[in-house]
Amino acid sequence: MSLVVLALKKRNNETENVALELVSKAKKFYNGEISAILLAAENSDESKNIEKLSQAGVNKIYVIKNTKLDRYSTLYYKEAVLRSLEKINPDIFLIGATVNGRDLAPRIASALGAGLTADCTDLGLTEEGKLAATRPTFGGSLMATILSRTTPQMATVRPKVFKMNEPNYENKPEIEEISVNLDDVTDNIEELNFVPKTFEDTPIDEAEIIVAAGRGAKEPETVELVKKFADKIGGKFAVSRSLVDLGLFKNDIQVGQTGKTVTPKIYIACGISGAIQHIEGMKNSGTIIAINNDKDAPIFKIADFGIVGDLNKILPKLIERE
Amino acid sequence: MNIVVCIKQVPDTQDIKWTEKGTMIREGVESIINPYDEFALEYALKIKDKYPDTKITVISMGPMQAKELLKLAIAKGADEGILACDKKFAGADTYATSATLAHTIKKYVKDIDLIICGQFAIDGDTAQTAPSMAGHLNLPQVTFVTDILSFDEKGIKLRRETEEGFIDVQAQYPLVISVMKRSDEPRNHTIKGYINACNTDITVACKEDIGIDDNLIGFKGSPTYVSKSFPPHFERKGEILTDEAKLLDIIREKLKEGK
Ligand SMILES: Cc1cc2nc3c(=O)[nH]c(=O)nc-3n(C[C@H](O)[C@H](O)[C@H](O)COP(=O)(O)OP(=O)(O)OC[C@H]3O[C@@H](n4cnc5c(N)ncnc54)[C@H](O)[C@@H]3O)c2cc1C
Repeated sequence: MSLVVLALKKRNNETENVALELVSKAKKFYNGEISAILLAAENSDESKNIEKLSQAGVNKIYVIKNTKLDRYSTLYYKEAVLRSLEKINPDIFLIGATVNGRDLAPRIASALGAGLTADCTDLGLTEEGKLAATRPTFGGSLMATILSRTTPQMATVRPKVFKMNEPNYENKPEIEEISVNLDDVTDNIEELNFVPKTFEDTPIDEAEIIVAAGRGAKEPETVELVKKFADKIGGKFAVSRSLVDLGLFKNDIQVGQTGKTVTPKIYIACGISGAIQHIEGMKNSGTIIAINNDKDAPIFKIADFGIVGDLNKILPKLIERE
Repeated sequence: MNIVVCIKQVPDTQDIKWTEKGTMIREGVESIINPYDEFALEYALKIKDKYPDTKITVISMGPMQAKELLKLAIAKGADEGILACDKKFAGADTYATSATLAHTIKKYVKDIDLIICGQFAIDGDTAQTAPSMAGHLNLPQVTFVTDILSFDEKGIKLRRETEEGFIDVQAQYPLVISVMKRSDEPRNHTIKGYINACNTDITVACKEDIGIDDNLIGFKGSPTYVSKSFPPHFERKGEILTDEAKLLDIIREKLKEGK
């Protein structure tokens, strides 16, 4: 019995936090061996990554080495993982749902004929010890637990869905180096250029206060009001997926299952109905406040406080008041 | 060039209404081409603008009604439509769906240069179909594509977006790419295209036509299955305030006391 977490890395060679979050979660529901796979170039110094994974609590770290693994490539990484999985043979295989994780996971799953559940919001075991991967259903009012008929049972989880454990400095995992042969693999996708994103703003998942606009605030004047209100109380502006779908905002300020998971001290939902996919991304906020003109909107059921009414009337009052 | 565009029929989520209990009202919800796939088609059409002898085949797996959406794609400028449609395909997860699409493509389209998919389907949002299909076809892939920078008959230059930034890559055909939405709107159909669509038959392919194995399709061929569904249990007290001023007090208070 073993559970393996794939620890992908950022361009600066640091392990992505989501891998540590997955290990932290696995420690809570899995009693068997928990290990991590780290892919690296032959000469790469992996000590920092090994240290982080150790502190997260893994029992074992497989370091897969090959010169072709110096930077993420779909085909080299896929083959390296597949070839090492033959040796490791896990029951459960978890991957962080970062862009590269989502590029790679389905590719590995299809090669193995393995079941893969995307963007899970909870993980656990069934009575029979199978992986129970939970995510909202399409309708947005129910959660579904998804099982896999085949092994390894695979799942991806977005960053920040699970909390990282306190570091365990005593943990001394076994380290096994596996060198894979990739001579027969070619990836002729050539990187020409990389332009890093500039983050002039704090990302929404680090904000203390979030004021989020939904479809009820889709008109430009209403969006302006929500932004003004956010400014007034020192909050960050975010949106539900409706406004992203309408092409008004980019996905990086979307809250929810397929956007960001946020836990601010205060979350204020303006004109958001409260579909589960949205709630999954903000349910652990400190205080939740909803403003909505429909008194039956599901958002009020998960809010601590609510105001029933039209945003265009309420927000100006809130903005003007001292 | 020979291009395949994969299209999914999805319910128009802008259209969805909710009951008081928070369940979705499905009746009267219109079916549309998955918005991301519209951009996939637009990229294919841009290539055809430059190389007019390019052939674009649009492919979908879905119910018979999805024929209409394939016709719509032809009205916009695609050349041929193939619908993989069979009761036995029902209940497919992303693995079985991508296996079905891959086998349909293999069977009906020869000498492919490029397969373009939308990055997400708005009703499932797993982003798994394109990479999984590329796997079944054993082709390289570039996902999360935000732009096609240039292309010729030999290769294609793409921009891909990750959390950290934008990566420009040069790729060779044959290739699978999956694309994000853009700010410029995809084109509409033309009158000429519309007439063309009326005169073009959509090929409907069942399991036997495609010649795909039973254990790769539908519910039976899906490695994942839903074991149970249940209402979520998060609930808060939902105190309704009638005075806005009170809200500002609460915000101040909560900020002081921390989480
Ligand atoms: C696979 C999948 C993944 C998804 N992931 C996400 C996700 O990550 N994040 C996300 O947010 N959604 C996600 N969704 C979409 C989700 O199901 C809902 O469709 C979406 O959250 C609804 O957004 P909304 O609440 O802004 O819009 P609506 O549901 O349309 O709600 C608008 C609300 O505004 C109120 N309103 C209207 N006018 C006013 C006014 N003048 N004043 C006050 N109130 C007003 C209405 O009463 C209504 O309650 C996902 C869906 C799927 C299928």
